[in-house]
Amino acid sequence: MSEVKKVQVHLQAVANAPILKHKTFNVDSNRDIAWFTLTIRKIMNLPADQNLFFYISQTFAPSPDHTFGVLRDCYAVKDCVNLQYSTTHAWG
Amino acid sequence: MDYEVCRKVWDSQIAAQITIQNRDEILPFYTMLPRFSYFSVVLQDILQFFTSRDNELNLDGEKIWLESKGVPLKMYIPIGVIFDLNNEVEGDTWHIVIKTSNAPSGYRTINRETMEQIYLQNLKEADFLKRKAETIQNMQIDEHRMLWDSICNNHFDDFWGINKKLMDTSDKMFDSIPLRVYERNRPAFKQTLLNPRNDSGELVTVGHAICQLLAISEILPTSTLISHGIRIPAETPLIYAAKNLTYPDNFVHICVLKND
Repeated sequence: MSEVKKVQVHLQAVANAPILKHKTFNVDSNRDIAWFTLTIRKIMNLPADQNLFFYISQTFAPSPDHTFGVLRDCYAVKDCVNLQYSTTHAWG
Repeated sequence: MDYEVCRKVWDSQIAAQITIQNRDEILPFYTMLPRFSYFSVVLQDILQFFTSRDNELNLDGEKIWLESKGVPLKMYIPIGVIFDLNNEVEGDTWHIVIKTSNAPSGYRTINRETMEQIYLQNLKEADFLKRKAETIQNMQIDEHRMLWDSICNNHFDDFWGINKKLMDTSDKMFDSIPLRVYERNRPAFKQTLLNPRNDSGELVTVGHAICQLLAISEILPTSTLISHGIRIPAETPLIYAAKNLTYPDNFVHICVLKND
């Protein structure tokens, strides 16, 4: 379980979030949401004062410490972790 | 719900000595920190105490960060989990330093308002694991607010008045149990889908769940399972832990400590 594997991640923009050219990523299972947020912010060139939130199942935002291994084990559908993203609070 | 256990867990506190970085002339602040709470919640009062004693003192609540024995303390994890994970000695005073230097990269200073959002997201995740978040989504916004306010104000009865809805299994058993397992010197927690019963219909124990999570065959006698500063017997049914040993975010947080 500690072995690092790639996790397939699919992103879906909600509300007025910037659209990404590439929506599918292969992320190391030991990487966490904090790292992923920084990475996607860089790709989008988001200004520092703008937020970026990720959601699972259009229900809740995973914590900065959730690894993609945990997200895969708990929430993957057909081996793919689907994340919605938004620059405003989308679901409570 | 086992009232005695839930009440004891809620009431458990940690004695702490808080000092300010490079300000040895300022007397430390001594306090009891509720294990169930968050640094984002208790920090406001602590900072106020320091500034009320010394008008010249300028502590920016959005910039300071916390450290103990050289280890940065995360603001969005329950205080009790951080204490257990740092392997502090139960009963000893916890020495915490308010740091005013630049925070380590990735450190997040979190105010009470942001913490409320993070708390609610954790609570939603726990209910998502238990029953696809149906219970929490059927609650009023006011009820979410009351849960948070009762954490900030240390009101056990108000909290459980609402929390019991999230714990109710009279109609339907939980799909899976929200459990996070931490190990020392490992940055991330482990979490997976854990059914309260196994294929033979027997209750799954905390020990079995942790073995599954850590991909080990047994809990070694040299390992201790700790939650709320208490040693949790490996044979505790997972469903009992989910109903009586959770933190207010509805997760059971257990630290696996190896005694060398």
